[in-house]
Amino acid sequence: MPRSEKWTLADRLDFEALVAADERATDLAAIAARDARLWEEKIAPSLNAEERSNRATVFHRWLEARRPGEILPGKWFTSTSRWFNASAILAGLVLGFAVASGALYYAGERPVNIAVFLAVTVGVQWILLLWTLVVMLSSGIRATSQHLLARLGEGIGQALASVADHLSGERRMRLRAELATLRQLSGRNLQPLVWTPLLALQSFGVFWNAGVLLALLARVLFTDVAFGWESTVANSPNGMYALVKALATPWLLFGLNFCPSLEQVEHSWFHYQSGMAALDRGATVSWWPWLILFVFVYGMIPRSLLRTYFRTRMRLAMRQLSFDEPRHRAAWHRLTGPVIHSNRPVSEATPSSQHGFTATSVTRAQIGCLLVDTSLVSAKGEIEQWVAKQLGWKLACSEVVEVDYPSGNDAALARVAATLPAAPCWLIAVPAPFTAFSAFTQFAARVGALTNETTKSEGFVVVVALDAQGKPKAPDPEWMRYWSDFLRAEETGCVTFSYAP
Amino acid sequence: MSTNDLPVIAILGDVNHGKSSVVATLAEDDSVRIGAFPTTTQCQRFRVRDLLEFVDTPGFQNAREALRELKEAGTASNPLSVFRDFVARHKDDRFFVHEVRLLEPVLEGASLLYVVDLAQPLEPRHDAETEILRLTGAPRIALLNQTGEPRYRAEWEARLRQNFSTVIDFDAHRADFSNRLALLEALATVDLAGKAKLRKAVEVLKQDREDKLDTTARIIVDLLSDLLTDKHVEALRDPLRVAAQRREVEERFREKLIAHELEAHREIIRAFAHQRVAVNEDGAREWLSDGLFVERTWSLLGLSGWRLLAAGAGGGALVGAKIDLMFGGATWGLGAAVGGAVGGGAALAGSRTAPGFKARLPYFSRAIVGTELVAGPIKHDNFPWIVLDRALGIFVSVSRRAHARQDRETLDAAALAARLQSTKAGSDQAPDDLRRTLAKAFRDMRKNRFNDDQRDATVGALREWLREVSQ
Repeated sequence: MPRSEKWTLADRLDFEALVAADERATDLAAIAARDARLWEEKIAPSLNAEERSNRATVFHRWLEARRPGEILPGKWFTSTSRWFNASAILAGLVLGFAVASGALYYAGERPVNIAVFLAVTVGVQWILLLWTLVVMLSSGIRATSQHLLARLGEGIGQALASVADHLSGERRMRLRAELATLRQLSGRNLQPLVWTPLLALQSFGVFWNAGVLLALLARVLFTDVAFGWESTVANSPNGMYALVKALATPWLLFGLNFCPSLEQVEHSWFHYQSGMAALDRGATVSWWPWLILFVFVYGMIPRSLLRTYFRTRMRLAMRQLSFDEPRHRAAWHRLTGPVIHSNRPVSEATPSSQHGFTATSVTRAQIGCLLVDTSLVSAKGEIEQWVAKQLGWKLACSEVVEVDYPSGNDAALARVAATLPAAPCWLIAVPAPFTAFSAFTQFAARVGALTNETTKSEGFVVVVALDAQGKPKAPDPEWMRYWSDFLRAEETGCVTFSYAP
Repeated sequence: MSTNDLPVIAILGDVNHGKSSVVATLAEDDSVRIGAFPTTTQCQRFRVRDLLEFVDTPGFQNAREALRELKEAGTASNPLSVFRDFVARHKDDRFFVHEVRLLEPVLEGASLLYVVDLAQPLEPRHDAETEILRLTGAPRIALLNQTGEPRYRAEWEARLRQNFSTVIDFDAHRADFSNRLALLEALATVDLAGKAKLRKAVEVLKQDREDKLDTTARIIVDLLSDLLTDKHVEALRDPLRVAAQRREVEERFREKLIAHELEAHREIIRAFAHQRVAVNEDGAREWLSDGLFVERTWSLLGLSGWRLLAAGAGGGALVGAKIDLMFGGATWGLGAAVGGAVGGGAALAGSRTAPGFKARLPYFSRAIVGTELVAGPIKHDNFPWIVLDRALGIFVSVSRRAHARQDRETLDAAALAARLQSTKAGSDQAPDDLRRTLAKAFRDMRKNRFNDDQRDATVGALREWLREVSQ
């Protein structure tokens, strides 16, 4: 994604919602006409030649053009995440302040135990962080948690399958297609969503530490408080002093000499037997700068670093998002698709597209292979013309295949394989009605394997019906819908078109 | 034969060739899911009482590929072991999920019905399907279904006769009871192992059909008996508002009769296990859009003028003859002649008009609080014939309706009359003997002289008629 186009998570959500809605639409001609109009009137005029071939830029403009009048999740997501983040900040500040205030309770009978104070304010955070680290690093725990998640997913899957079994064929296929889309969304394209709650969690942590520091400062500045340490097993203050000094190393290195001396440590060692009278007031007070720096260095800074890390990861994830899912490519071809004059001489007049709009070429003519099912052989010529006209392809080869016979078609597929390096796009023309879907899945997998071996290629499917005379016509919308759902559910990665004469 | 020892019949074929429709019709179960798209990946079992089990299988979706692996069954000593290996090998293979499922009943030893649609072209994958079924060695029959113009009959028949010893025309949406029986009998001839049980099933189904006819005849006779004697009685509440309460009583009586008829129609539909056929509360809209007391019903159904005249004249003449007898024959049959003329004339005059519901006070009584207002019974001569025709209309519709049909049927009075005419099931088309028996029964019902023996005789006569018109 180019840096010039700033995609936010809200943008991406809105974009995915729009392309997903288009994918479910039944009136394909209407959405093609809409996109052709948007391209012509709003997108193309504002872009230069280089920008027109950049999907991120084009799609961003398309999104901006479509947003007015649409109810989209991005705005809702933005306000919700802001609210969520603000709540996390407020909750962190209030809870940190409250917990620290409780730990700083002092009524003159015994000093505030610094170990307890640090345990409930900073220690808890470290325990949670360490636990997260253990989970991330420990293969056993990770495997167990993954196993549990898998079992949960399996249970949900079985429940859905039993529900789906009561649905009609087309509804079950619709459900499968929607689940496949959700899987794709959650798998890659909406990964940045995961970082949103993690960022809020780090905001909570940062402001928890801020609350702790505020409570500590308020207590020290405006009330009388004494700090001390206790131990049953210690024989001398030397060990405690060494520990305190070691912990203060980070700020001592920067010349901030805020660390109790050995005498101060010794005179803030509380024993119930001796009581408060045995402690030195100066020594008990001397701890507070050390405590503030401790909370700052071991609490505030790690959480701030983590927050920065998550924010960076989220930005990186946003940059790594691509636009190569079938639904994205379908939208791309709608926008730039009716490439009518792309491979014609410049002097030739630009004919109108089927929707009455004058299409502007944005891509060079691609070279592709056409595979026509044997049942459509009577319409092969028209289909070839349609491909050339609607997709702007120059056909490197056009073969007749039996899509219900995956292991057959050797000769035709060998010719396709020979052509593919120079022709990275392939399109299968399939009939509607059609029933051998499992066979087609296997056939498409074979074609996919063949083309992936050769080159990184793009696959398309065009659904064609025949009239009584064997001429091609647009398929029945229900069959088109079923084909489209089936290809989504099988995650073939193919863009689906409806033939329109 | 299956492990539970019931004959199992698996229905196989390509998607959208009518497998589920055939199952629905054969099992008389309209809950079978039927759709243009692949409806299921699982086998669905439908048991017909404890006689048979029909298995609706998923359609073939990768037959040509499957055949490549199953071909060796042709030379194997135990062909089914090749199929078992195939199922085990591809248990979790998404490319063969349908083939694995549809072979399950085959491995259980089911007889096979292969369904093809003559409106769809024969394609290479269909050759693969028939070849797979041949390789199973299971008893099998091919059914020629047709969802549209049977343009490809010749190709299908030629090919199927190569792999099936028996090929039968079976239109799942029009098949009647006799077609179902013929199919099962054909299956009994090819399935040597299940022959005895299939024959027994045929016999039980025949008896079952007889029971349904008997049930329907009893429902209709009881309905007529009830409606002809039914009345509604209410005590007068306010002598100053007699007219208003009279209208209320008349309306309640009308509703009571309609509800009674509706319930009888529902019982007939239930007897034939049609779940998708519903009868609505508001005037039996689902099947009969015109209500019982709508003028159009009365103008189109029931006995026509002369037949009603004959029935009415018969009643009048009987009364007249009794008068003749009282006078020892001195009236020279004049009583019978006058009675016949009066009765027939009265019947002819009012035969095509819906009856009124005049609620009345008993004769010679005054309108005081507590006096009974009475509506009914309806004396109109054509009333029982109209009720009978409506019940017969429901009967011929449900008894001839294949369970594969998904549509909802609504008949107005004209359509109902036309259907009765075309099926020769209307009271006007009934044999004279039956009409005379019924006319006498109606008279006796009205006079509360309809005893059990007479009821059985009437039910018997009506059952014979129902059997005839349900073919």
